[in-house]
Amino acid sequence: MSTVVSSTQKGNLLEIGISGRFDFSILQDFRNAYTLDITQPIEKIIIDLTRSEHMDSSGMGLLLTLKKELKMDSGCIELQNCRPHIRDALLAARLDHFFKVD
Amino acid sequence: MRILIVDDLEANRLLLSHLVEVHGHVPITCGDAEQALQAYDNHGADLIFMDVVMPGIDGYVAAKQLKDKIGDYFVPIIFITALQDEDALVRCLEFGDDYLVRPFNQIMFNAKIAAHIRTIDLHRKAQKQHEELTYLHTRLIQEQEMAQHVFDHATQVNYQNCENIQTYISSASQFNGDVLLIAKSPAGGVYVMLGDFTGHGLPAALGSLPLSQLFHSLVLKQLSVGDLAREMNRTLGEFLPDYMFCAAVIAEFNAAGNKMRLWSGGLHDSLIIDDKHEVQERISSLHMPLGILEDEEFNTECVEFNLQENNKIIFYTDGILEASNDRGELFGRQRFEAALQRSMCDIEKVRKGLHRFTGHEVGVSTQDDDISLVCVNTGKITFKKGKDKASGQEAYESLRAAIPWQITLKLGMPELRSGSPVSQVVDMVSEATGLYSHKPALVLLLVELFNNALEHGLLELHSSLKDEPDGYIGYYAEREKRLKSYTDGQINIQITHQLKSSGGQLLFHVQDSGAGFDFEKVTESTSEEKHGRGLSLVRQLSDSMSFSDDGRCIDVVYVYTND
Repeated sequence: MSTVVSSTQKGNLLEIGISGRFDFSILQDFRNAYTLDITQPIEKIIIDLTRSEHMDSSGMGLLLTLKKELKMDSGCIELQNCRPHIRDALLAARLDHFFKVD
Repeated sequence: MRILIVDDLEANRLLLSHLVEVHGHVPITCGDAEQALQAYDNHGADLIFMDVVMPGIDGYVAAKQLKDKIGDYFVPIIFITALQDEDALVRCLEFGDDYLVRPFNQIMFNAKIAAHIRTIDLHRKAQKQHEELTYLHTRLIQEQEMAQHVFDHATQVNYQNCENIQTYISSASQFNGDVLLIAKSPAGGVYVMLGDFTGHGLPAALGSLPLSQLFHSLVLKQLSVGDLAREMNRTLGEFLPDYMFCAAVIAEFNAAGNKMRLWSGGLHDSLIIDDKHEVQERISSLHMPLGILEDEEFNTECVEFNLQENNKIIFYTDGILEASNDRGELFGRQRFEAALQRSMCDIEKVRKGLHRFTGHEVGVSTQDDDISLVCVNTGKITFKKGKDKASGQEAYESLRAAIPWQITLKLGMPELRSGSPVSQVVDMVSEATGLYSHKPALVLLLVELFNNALEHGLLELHSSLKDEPDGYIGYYAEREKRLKSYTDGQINIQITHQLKSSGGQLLFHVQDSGAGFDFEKVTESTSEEKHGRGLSLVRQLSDSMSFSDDGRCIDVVYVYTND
């Protein structure tokens, strides 16, 4: 299953949905999601991982890149609906310091 | 037709025989009751003429004895008598089927025979149909029992293992036209689908078979409820005749049980009950039932709700509102909601309340429609352990004992260029007995080990590339470039599975042909940097990790226990 990245902006909130594998293979699509068609400054980002079945360290790298590029504060990026093993991996990498893991 | 003639006078017997023979029937003559019984035993008869006044046993008694012998079979007895008094004729009709008063003319006699033959034909036809019906009925019952077995097993899996869900299901006939499907989602939440097919009984239940199979396979893909509804609509459109459809609600709860996404078509309002047991919200159907619209007309729009702790979500089919008592009153929405409130959504109490209202004993099925009632408690979704019906892979695993094994892969540049070989390796490993439930962790371990060996070992990419502007893109562009241009290089992966008393362990040995690196420095990086996480993840997930051969070799141990 190839990965699909979708995004919608609602005011200052940006919602990004990842469906499929979350790793470096989606680099370009993922960056496009928060750089193209951005009409207002983004204050909060919700990343919905309901339909993402796998994330590795390169995927986590993408998340950190996003945080750095947009100069977002910790806690302003929320990772929602993680599958248990993805959640475990995020906590193992202690990324919960930077991202709100639902 | 064989016609039995019973008369003590030979002249009468001859006359009647003659009249019968003229019309092509076969006469059998007897002089008294005993002979008549004997003759019936020997030859049988379709019609009997009986003299009333005979020496010894009279005609009435003889008729009774014959009727007893004949049993359920229909053989009319016509008395022939010179007696004219009303009383005697009434007795003729009491013991026999008709009478003919002597002297009679031939026309009257023929007409009587013709009339009785019509009755006999009619009776025999009815008898034959009755036998056929009995046969068909027996066969139908057998077939239904077989079908019920299939339905029960195909549609009622996983009813009870989600501890957040209470259900009451009662069908109007042997087959349930309501369908309730519950399945754990890969994300740790739960999917619930309640559907009500047009009508009830076997035709209505038929649709639940494809639906159930589809539901369980789609849930594994974590499809959104809207997409789930669309797939079901398409399938039902193909399966069902035009006049049949399925009103349904499909809900997905997240693992924390505080969020619900809902697609609803044609079913009654779903209810959100607050912690004071009052109806907080009625969620009306947005859509038409499944199986009506064409795929391109279908609307996947769904609604999302944030749920509080101690909320309850109620789904139900219309059978409960339309359940009636002896006075023809319906249970109705008001009584239903009051029952929910009074019982604090205890489904068992609602069920008892319903039975008190209808006056039907529990288990006695006189209801007109199938009833289904589902209550989902909010809060962390949990499943009963052990009672979980094993999924295909788990069931398969339970049939095989775990064995120790070892696999070795030597990946040269052509294989490394052809995309990630890791997913294939992981599939091989997780197919092995005992490891299926560890697949996510094993995928992550192998991916990280492989990428580390490839990127840092073989391709000699340095993570500091990622720190430059647009570093991430640059890094992966460089990776791609080097992967194409390098001609020499190899990664060896060896995985060893060993059994332990309560589980086992996997030993990963990964070696690359690169220049090696200073592993002590690399492994000290923190999570605040954008790199170095790969190996620290490996360390977190595994039980031990060590380098050798100047960083070209890494050994990792993953220990697991069986639940």
